[in-house]
Amino acid sequence: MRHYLVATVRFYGTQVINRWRKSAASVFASRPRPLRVYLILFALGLALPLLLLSAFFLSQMASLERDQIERRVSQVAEALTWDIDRELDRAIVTLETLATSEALANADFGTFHAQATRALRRTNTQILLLDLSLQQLLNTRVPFGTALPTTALAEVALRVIGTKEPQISDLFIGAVAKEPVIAVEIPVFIRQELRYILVMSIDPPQLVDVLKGQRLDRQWITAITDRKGIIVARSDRHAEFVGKPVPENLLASSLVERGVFRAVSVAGEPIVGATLRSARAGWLVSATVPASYVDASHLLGWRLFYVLIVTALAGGGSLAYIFARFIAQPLTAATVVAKRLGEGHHVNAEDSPLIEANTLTKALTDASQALSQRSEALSDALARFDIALRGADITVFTQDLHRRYLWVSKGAWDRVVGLREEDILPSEAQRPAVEFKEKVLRTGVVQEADLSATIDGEHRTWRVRAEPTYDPMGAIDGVIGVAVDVTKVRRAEGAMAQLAAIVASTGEAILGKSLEGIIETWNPAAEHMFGFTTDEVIGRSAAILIPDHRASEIEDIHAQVRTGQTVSLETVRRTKDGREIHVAINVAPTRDEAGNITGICSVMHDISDRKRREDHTSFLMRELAHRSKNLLAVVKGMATQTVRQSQTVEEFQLHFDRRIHGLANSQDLLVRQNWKGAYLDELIRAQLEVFVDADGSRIRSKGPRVFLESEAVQNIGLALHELATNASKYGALSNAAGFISISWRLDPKMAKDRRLHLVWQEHDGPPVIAPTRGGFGRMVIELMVGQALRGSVQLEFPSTGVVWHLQIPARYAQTMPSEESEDVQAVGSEV
Amino acid sequence: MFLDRLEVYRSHIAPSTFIPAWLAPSAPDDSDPPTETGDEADKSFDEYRILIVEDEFFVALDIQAMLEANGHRIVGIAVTAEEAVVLAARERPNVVFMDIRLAGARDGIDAAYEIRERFDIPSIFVTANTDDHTRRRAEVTRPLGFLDKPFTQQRLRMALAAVRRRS
Repeated sequence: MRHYLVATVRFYGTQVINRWRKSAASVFASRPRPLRVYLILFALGLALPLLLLSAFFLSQMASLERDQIERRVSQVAEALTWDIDRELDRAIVTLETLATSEALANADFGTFHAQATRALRRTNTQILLLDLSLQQLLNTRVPFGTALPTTALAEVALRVIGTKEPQISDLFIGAVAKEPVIAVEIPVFIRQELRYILVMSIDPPQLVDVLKGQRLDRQWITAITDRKGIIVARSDRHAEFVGKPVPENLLASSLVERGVFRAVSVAGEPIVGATLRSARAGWLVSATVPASYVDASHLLGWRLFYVLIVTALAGGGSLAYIFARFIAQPLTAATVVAKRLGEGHHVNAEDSPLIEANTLTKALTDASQALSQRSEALSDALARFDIALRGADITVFTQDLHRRYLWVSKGAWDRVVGLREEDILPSEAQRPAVEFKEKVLRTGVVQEADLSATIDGEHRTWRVRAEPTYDPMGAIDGVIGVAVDVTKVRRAEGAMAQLAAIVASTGEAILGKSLEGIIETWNPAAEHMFGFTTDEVIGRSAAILIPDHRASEIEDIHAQVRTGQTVSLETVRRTKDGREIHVAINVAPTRDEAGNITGICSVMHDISDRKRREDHTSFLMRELAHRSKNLLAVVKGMATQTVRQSQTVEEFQLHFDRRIHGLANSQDLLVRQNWKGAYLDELIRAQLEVFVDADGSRIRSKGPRVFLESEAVQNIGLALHELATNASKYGALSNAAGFISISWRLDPKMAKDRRLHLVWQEHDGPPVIAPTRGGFGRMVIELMVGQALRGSVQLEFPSTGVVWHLQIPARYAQTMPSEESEDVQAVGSEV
Repeated sequence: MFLDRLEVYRSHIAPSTFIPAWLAPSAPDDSDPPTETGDEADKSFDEYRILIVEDEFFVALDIQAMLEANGHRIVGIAVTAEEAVVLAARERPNVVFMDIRLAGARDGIDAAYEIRERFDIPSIFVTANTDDHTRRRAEVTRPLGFLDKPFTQQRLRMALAAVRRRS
C-alpha cells in the first residue's frame, strides 16, 4: 500500500512538474527577457521558501510564547488560589489556637483580648468574639471594654452555629471597622459545649499582600472576588476597585471559562486571564495580563517577517542586479565578438572575469581562426580548382530539369548556357547524351559513361559523371556533372591494350618491377617460364627468381638500371620448382612522362635449349678433340709398330694403309652411332669387305644382333683386320676356294660371368703351318684384344685353317630386345 | 703377363730397315722449341722404373718404346685403375705414366690419387683430356706433369726432367 502511494505521488508529482516546466518554458520562450529578470526571479525563487519558512517558524515561536504566557497565567492563578487558601487556613489555625486559651475558657475576656491583640499585632487582622446571640464580646480593633454591637454579618455566624464548622464570609462592611472586611469564623467549644464564635476580621490589604507575594511583573494583575462577585482584593489599584462588583461579562467569563480566557478587565482594557475558585472560601482568584502582553511575541514575529521580506527583496534584487551586470558585460562583449566574427572580421577577444564567457569568447576566437584558415584553404582550393579546371580538360556543368545548361565552368562554353544537348551536339551524338541525362533526372542515380562526338572534324571522347541536384523540398531539380576530355586517354588505352596483348602473347617473360625490385607485373610467358602464377609473385621481390649462388647479381643489375643504364646479360634464374634455367635478360628502366625513372622492366628469354646445345657442342668438341688426339696417338703407335715390321717404304705403306683403313672403318661405324658403339655384324662387314669379292660369299657369319661398345669396336675391328690380312696372305682367302666362318653368341642372361663368344675359323685354305715367330698382326690378334677388353683369346693353327676364339665380358656387347633371337649375317650367306 | 708376352712378340719382329724420322724414338723434335729443361734432360739420363697405365694398346706400346729408347725400364703396363694400383704396390716404380680415361669404372685420376697417397709415387698424366675441369681434378694428386697425346720425344724428356728434379 505504501509503495502504491509513493508511486502514485511520484507519478502525479512528475506530471505536475513536467506540466509546470512546460508552461514555464513556453512562457519564457514566448517573450525573451533580460538576464536581470531571470536573476531576480531566481533570487525570489531562492528567498520565497526561506521567507515562508521564516514566517512559519516565527509564528510557531509566537504561539509557543503565547502558550507559555497563558500557561503561566493558569499557573499564577492556581498558585494564588493555593496561597489564599493557605492564608485562610492559617487564619483558622490561629483562631483555633486562640480558642484553646485558658482565659477564654475561664471567660476572662480581658486577658483573652490582650493575648489576641498580642498575637495579631503585626497583621491587618482583628479578633472578635461573639456569643451565641451574635453579640460581640470583644474586638481587638477597640480596647477591651468598649461597647460593641452585634455582628454585622449574622448569616455567617449562624452558619457556624449550625454547622459547627469554620466559615468564611464574603466582603462586608464591618460593624466596628466601618470598612470592607472579611471574616473567618470558627465555633469555640468550652467543655464540649458551643459557647462562642471566634472571628478573625481580615482587612483586604492583608490579602493584597498575599496577591503580591508572587512577585509578578507589573503587567500582571491579580484579584480576588468573593462569591457575590465583589472585588475583595486587587494587586493593582486595590483601593480603587475593592468592594466594587466585577462586570457581568467578566464575571460570566470567569465563571464559564475553564483555563485561560480573553475578556475586558474592570479597567476596560483587554486582558487574558485565568480564574480558579478557592476551595476554602469559594472566592474566585484571578490572574490576568494585558492581551497586548500576550500578543507581543506575535506582533514581534510579524514585524521580523516583514523586515525579512523587505531585506530579501532588497538584497536579492540588488544582488541580482549586480550579478546581472557582472554576467551581462562579458556576454555583451562576447556578443560583440560574435557580431564581428559574423561580419567576417578576425577577432581576438580579451579575457573577462567570467569563465563561461571566456570559454565562449575563446571558442569564438578559435572559430575565428579556424574559419580564417578554412577561408584561406577554401580560397586556395578554389584557386587550385579554378586553375585545374582551366588547365585540365575538365568541365563542370549544371543543368535544370529541362536539361538547359545553367552554368559551365569553362569560359569557352559560356555560349551553351540556356541551351540543351540538342542545340549544341552533332545529331549522331545527341541521343546518347540526352538519354544519359534523362536517366539521371528520371532515376536520381549517379550515372557515368563515355560520350563521344565529332567536333571540328576531330572525334573526341568525354568521360561524363552526372548526379541529380535537389530543391529544398528534396525533389530533383536538375543535374550537376563533370565531363573530362579523355580522348588522349582512350587512344593511349587502345595503344596500351595493344601493348598488353603483345606482352601477354609474347614468348618472352616480361616483368615490371618497382625500383626496389618488387614485382608489379608478370605476363603469361613469365608464368610459363618460371611456374609462378601472377598472384604468387605480385608484391614479392624478384630475388625469388635468383639462385642462391647469384644472390648479389640482381642488386648489381638494379643499381645499374636505377642510374638509367640498360643491362643485357645471359645468366641463370630459378623456377618455382627449383630448376635453374639459362636466360638472356634485358633489363631497362621505365620512365614517366617527365623522364624520371619509375620502375624496372626485365625481358627474359629462355636460352636453356641453346645453352644445352652449346654445352653439348662444347662437350662434343672436347670429346672430338680427345678422341682425335687419342686416335692420333693410336695411329702413331700403329705406325711405329708397322714401321718395325716393314722392310721397305712400300711395305710400310701397304700395311699402314690397310690398318688405317680398317681403323677408319671402325671409326665410321662409331661416328654413325654417335661414338656409342657399333653392331658386330656391321663391324665384320666393314673390316672384311676389302678382302673379299663383290658378293662377299667367302665370308660366312652368323650370330645374334649384338651392339658392341665403342672400346670393343676399335679393338675387335683391328683384330679382325689383322686376321683378314693374314688370311689373305697365307690362309683361306689366299686361294680361290677358301672361306671364313665367323660365328658368335652370348651366354644366357642369367649366366654367371656372362660373356660374348666369337669364333673365327678358316676353311679350305692352304694347309696351315704354325708360324715360328710373332709379328705385329699376331700381337694384335693374340694380345691386344684380350688385354684391352679384359677377355681371353685362343689362336690355333690346325692344318685345316686358323681358328681364333675370343671371349669378352658381356658388358661390351648388348643384344637388342627385338633382335635377340634373330641371327644376322655380316657379309654373305654362302661363298 | 702382358709384358712378358709382349717381349716375345717384339723379339720376333725384325729390326726395321726403314724408320721415318717422325717415328724415330730418339730423333730430335724440331717442332718443339728448345727449353732449358729439355736441354738439361738431354745431358744425362737416369734410369727410372716406370709404370705405364694406358688402355690403348698401341699408345701403350708407343710410350713404352719411347721410354725404353730413353734408357728407362718399364715395370708394367696396366689398362685399369685396379691393375695400376696392384702393379704400383708390387713394383714400386719411380713414376707412373697415367692415362686419365681408362677401361673400367675408375679413371686414371682415381688411380693416381691412391698410388700417391698410399705409396707416394707421383704420376705424369698422359691424356687427350685437356679441359680445365679434368686438369683441376688431376691437380689434387700433385702430378709431376701432363703430357698431351700425341706427344713427342722432346715433351717426354721434359716430363722426365720433372721426375729427376723430384728425385
